[in-house]
Amino acid sequence: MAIASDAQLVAAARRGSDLAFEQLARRHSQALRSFLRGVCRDPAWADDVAQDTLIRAWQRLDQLKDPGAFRSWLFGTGWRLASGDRRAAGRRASREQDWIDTQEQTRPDGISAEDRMALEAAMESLTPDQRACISLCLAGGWSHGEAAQALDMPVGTIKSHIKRGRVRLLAALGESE
Amino acid sequence: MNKEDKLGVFLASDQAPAADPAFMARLDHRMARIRLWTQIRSSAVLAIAIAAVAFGLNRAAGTHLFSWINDLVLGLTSVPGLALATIIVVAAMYLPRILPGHLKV
Repeated sequence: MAIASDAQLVAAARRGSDLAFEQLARRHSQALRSFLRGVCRDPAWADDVAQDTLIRAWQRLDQLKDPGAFRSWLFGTGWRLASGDRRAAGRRASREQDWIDTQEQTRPDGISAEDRMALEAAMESLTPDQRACISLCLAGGWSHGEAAQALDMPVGTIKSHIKRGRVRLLAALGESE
Repeated sequence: MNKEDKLGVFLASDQAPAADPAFMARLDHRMARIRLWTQIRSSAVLAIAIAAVAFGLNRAAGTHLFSWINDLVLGLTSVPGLALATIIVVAAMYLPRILPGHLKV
């Protein structure tokens, strides 16, 4: 049985099929959450934004002009929500321990704790735009054009953000050595 | 491991799990609650519209057209156990769907 394309699933979801939307959500939730984790730097917060993003996409599916561009539209929605989401500092602080615990569990092999901390600090110091571009293109493997469409930025700006962000991240590693 | 590799490993550590039933269950739950509230809202609108029409008909035709409803309601409420049972059944049907922490409709 052929796998339905995003456009086919969007069309079915627009006709009222929740199953079709669920398939879309399953297909893209991992990448969306990974992207938002890169932007938010807090897995719990990122997952909250991912939930809000999927709900908003479900409610506003009729506003999607090109059903084939569902992925870009979804990530763009997530990006806008993450940018506009100014959660209370207290809430984030209460989850600080969860974040630390998660990092302990998922500590990447091959880099020292010192390097990881330096990279984390460097990521935090990047602008949200730079983090979004780094997360989509360097971590997620998106093309510059796709990222430009999702983030609603010119391709040149995307390239510039990636270049500057990458330089700063590598510089952080240099300082830690 | 050179710097590029370290950066790659670090960026890969942001990867979310491929399958996360808890995340999807939470999403399903939120969608179910939204659907339920939408149904309740549309039902309420319909009920108000029907009530308004009935009220208008009653006013137009005189006060005795729907007097049998009054008699029926009075008859039902005169049995205390029946009213209580109705409240319990309605609460059992709808509260689990509305209160947070419960799964799908």
